[in-house]
Amino acid sequence: MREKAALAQEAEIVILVEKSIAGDAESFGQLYDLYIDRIYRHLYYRVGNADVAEDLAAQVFLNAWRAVGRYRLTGRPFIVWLLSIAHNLLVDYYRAKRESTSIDDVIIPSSDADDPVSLAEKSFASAVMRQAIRKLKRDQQVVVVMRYIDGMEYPEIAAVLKKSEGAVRVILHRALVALRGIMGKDVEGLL
Amino acid sequence: MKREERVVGYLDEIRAGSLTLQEVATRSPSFQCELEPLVQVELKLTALPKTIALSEPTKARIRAQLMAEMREPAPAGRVQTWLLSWQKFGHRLLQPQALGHLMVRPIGVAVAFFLSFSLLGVGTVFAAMDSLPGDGLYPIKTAAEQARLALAFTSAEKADAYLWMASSRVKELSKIAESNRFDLAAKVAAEYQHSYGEAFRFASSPEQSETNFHQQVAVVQTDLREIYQKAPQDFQAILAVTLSVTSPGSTAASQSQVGTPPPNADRTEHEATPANGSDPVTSGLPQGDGGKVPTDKSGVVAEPTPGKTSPISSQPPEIGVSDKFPPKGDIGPAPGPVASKDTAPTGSSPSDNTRTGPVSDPASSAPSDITPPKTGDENETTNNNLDDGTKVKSGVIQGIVDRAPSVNGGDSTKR
Repeated sequence: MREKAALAQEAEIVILVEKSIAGDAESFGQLYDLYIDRIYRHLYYRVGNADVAEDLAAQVFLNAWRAVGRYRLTGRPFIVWLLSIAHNLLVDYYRAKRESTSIDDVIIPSSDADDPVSLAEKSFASAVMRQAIRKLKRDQQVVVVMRYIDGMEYPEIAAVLKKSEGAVRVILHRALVALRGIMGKDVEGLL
Repeated sequence: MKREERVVGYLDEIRAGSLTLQEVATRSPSFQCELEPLVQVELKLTALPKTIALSEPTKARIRAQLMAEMREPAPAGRVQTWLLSWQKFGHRLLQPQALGHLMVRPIGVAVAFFLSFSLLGVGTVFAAMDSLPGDGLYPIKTAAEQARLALAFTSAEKADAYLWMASSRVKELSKIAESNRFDLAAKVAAEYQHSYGEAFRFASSPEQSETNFHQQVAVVQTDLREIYQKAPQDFQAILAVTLSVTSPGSTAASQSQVGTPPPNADRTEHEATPANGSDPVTSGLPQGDGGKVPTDKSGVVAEPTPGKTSPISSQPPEIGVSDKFPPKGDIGPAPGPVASKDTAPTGSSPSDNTRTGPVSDPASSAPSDITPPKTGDENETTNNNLDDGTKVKSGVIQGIVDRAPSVNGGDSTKR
């Protein structure tokens, strides 16, 4: 039953994508509704700033709309394509910043009432983990976020990063090892 | 497989529940020590909140901004830009002088045909036939027209292709009139004028008599006349200015405004003799003569000076007939007070045929056959004459009178 529902949703998404390719703005708007949260979440974990993540998320969908005419259905989830755009945007974003802001300086959203992340901030463990993720190397960071936050499969990550699946697994392994080290140090420091 | 890959593989299996640490320890004891801390890290990663999301108002705001951006002509523009670039590419391919070798022309033809029909699909092309300038599918329509033009090898076929394009413009004018999109009228009318002129330019070929060109001309003109007569006054004015419409029904003395022709025309008035005593000016439009283009001269008057005598055609608005040979790029309103009576340039040297398009040379003779197409140089000369009123011959009174193309007259063999 659950599989049927998933298949039906997939079919619906394919229709929306096809209509978007044909220039149907309303269908693309529905794709926005479906994926905005995942894109925002991905960006938030990558940049660690709610405002920046929001701006980038909007830009992702605008870029996607401008490019959707060239999108071809390949059987890969549409979200992967969106995340590719997000990834490219982030590359440009970091390039523009020229790394002037160190990872440590990235602002962790405060717990003001308007911040949707405020509730998550109450979790000490998750705050430490998010800090730790942002201290990873860029390629490790993106693999971790895609794997554990976005729930992407290795082939999808490999496609976005233009790497082999084996290379993605190796990066992930190194990321996990690095996280273990970072978290150990941070927890000790905080305590 | 590298060790790192194997570790990650075990982690995935443990996370999926298909394997336990103990089983890994049994199967591969060397991995156990490494796996244990990584499993802990992975647990924390998977425990990260997935509920991070934008607030609903923020999502709605971004969505509204996005939809506003999407309403901009970006998608259509993207398609149009892509299509137009291919159109330009096709045009370049179709220019023998650009290619430097006529043998390459068939490649251009093939490309144009392929682009218009194979890539876009026949259905899309047909759907595009109803589009108007500015519509997303309009470039497809023009590409299809260019493809047909590319496939026209003889002058007669080219004339038919251009006439087909002129017919398309007439249909667009009809839709424009119906939808009150008058902002498109001048552009479409100008393109009609160009296509119509080109059709007659190529219609001078002998093989043209083998086609139903004449009947098609009559149909186009009839359609255009109906559009004009039914159109609101604003639209009539646009058409009149752009196409140098004759003001039918008005006498030479009374006509003082372009684009306000009365609906009924009087053939007798139409054939009135101009003040300079030269040949009478007649309209070249078919007037219920079986759809055939008259073999005599035509007259189309534009912007006459009030109070002056003018060889005005009293025919119904004969849009475009005077533009039998419109100079390229000269598709705007006819020159104002400068007027001339057109006579046929047959037998005269090119230098004598200085009046092309909406302006005729009153000094030239008026044969009943199709006037050969003017060259670009001739057009340029015409424009010079317009700019310099002193060069306009004495027979010119006011308005712009042109000779109608006579393609079915007794002298058709001259073609």
